[in-house]
Amino acid sequence: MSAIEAKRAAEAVARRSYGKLVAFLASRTHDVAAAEDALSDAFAAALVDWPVNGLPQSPEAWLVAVARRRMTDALRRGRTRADALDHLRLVAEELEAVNETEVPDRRLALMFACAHPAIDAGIRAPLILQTILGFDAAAIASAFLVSPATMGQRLVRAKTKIRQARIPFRLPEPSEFAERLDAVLAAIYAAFAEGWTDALGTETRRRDLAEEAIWLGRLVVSLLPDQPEALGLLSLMLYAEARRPARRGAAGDYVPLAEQDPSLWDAHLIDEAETLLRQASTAGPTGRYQLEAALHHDGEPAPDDGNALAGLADDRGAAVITDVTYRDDAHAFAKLEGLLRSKGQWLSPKPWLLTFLRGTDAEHVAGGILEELSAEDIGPFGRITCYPMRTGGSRTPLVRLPDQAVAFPFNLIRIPAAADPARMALMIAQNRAFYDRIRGAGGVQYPVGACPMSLDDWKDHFGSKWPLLRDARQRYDPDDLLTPGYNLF
Amino acid sequence: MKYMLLIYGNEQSEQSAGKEADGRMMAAHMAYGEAMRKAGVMVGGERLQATKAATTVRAVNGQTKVLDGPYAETKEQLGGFYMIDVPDLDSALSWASRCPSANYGVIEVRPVWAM
Repeated sequence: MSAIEAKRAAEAVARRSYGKLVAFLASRTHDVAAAEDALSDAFAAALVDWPVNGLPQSPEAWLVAVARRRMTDALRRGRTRADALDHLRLVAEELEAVNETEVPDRRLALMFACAHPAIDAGIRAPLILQTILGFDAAAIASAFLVSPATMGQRLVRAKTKIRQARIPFRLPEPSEFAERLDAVLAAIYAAFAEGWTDALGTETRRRDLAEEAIWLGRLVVSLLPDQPEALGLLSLMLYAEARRPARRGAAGDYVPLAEQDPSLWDAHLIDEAETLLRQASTAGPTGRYQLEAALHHDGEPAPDDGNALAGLADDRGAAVITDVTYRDDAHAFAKLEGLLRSKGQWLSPKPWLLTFLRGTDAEHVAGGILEELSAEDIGPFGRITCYPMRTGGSRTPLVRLPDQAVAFPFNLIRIPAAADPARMALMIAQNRAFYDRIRGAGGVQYPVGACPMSLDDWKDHFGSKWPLLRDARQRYDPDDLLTPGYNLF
Repeated sequence: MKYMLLIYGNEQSEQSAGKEADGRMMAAHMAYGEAMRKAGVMVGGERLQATKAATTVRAVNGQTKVLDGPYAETKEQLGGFYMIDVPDLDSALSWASRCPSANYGVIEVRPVWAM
């Protein structure tokens, strides 16, 4: 066997078995980092040994045997005597249980440990990508648009938590199985979504991430073939993946499902997604992934609404509420910044218009404005948001809201691709015209944006609150340092 | 594996809840401690006096500084603890969730450093 063949063989084993070997090596000691180190030593040893002695009969067992020696060596060196003996006993007990050729598959247990509620939700997907697939921190960092150092630290911290807090490597109790499986599925879906947000579909690294998430989805389905939500998630990812080639136009603009060219879809993947969804719907209760997958179904025959809705209830207690940590929330913006910088658009002007519409007029007013906007006016990374909110919940003293119980924030988050000054001037004038129309219909603006305003406009906007703002400004900002350019005073 | 269950709650609302409520809470903790002993996981546990009885000591450049009051002034205070010995975090979390005080405050679960 040549060195190149040995490298290929090692890569093939890594691809197929990396997570299995990490899961097995770490399952008793809970020391994922030590297992990964030992395994990477074992792969390095394989590249030296296999060209000379040929491919072992069971490459997995060979790698486990070498990794085991590395782990025991490391334990002897690095720990106090009593502690090392304890760990050595655990390692030995575990390894005696392996027969010559078969390494038990504990990947599912490892995934449950990585997605344990005691692990920060934002690091679960990266942790699974690393421990199950062997991604290095730099590759994960670039896919998640954070710095390699930050990602590396967060991964180390999570692995330390698994070891120190002794997070178990086993399937959860039946009473909490559904909830804990949901955390595993959410982490896989997060990896998929991360690969999916590649706006132009041109960044190979991120597209790969979506493919790896599908691989993980297949793995979970193969290990838990009767879990309807696992089937639902795989179905959902395959539906989306099948339509990847059709979701962007030639200019990188978003193409809605109804306008996509079906000849660009991958019919084979769609078939598989349909089959999985059918299987899921008969396997047990309907959950969010099945519902989301079902949105993609547009085959014949059309679904029977009565049948589809049977058994579904407006159960507020079952609402899926995804908590994000403050860090994730802050990073959400850092991601957009990274994306815009990479496209050279970060420093271009962004003439936003943020407004609130009266609930009763929202559809009419927003609809009229949407008709006048082109994709270019918003840009490939911009967006328009419009959603209902209760005005009674606002406790911010100076924010003006329409005089109705329900208002609709209506925001033009323009991120135009070109920074042409003449075009910008037109957009700003357009913002002002939209604002006048909105104000005429009882709407107000959220005063952060690019909409030319005069002092009288502001007085009118703040109404009875104007003296409060003016006095506050005289007291706290007598030198006029804040809000330059808004013509506020 | 040993874990410390640190019980944090709002002292003021506990005190204003009255004697009867305090008695019920004590009884619930007795039953909880008994369940832990029966399961063979209990290592120890104590209820602490209120933080107004606390004194904070710090040694700065060899000088002892003593201050009246608890270390951290927070909305919730450390009111007691249990030490348990269980196989893994899930078992520790399961015991913590059954602690009577979990209904009124929070239980922080901390693995104990293995020497």
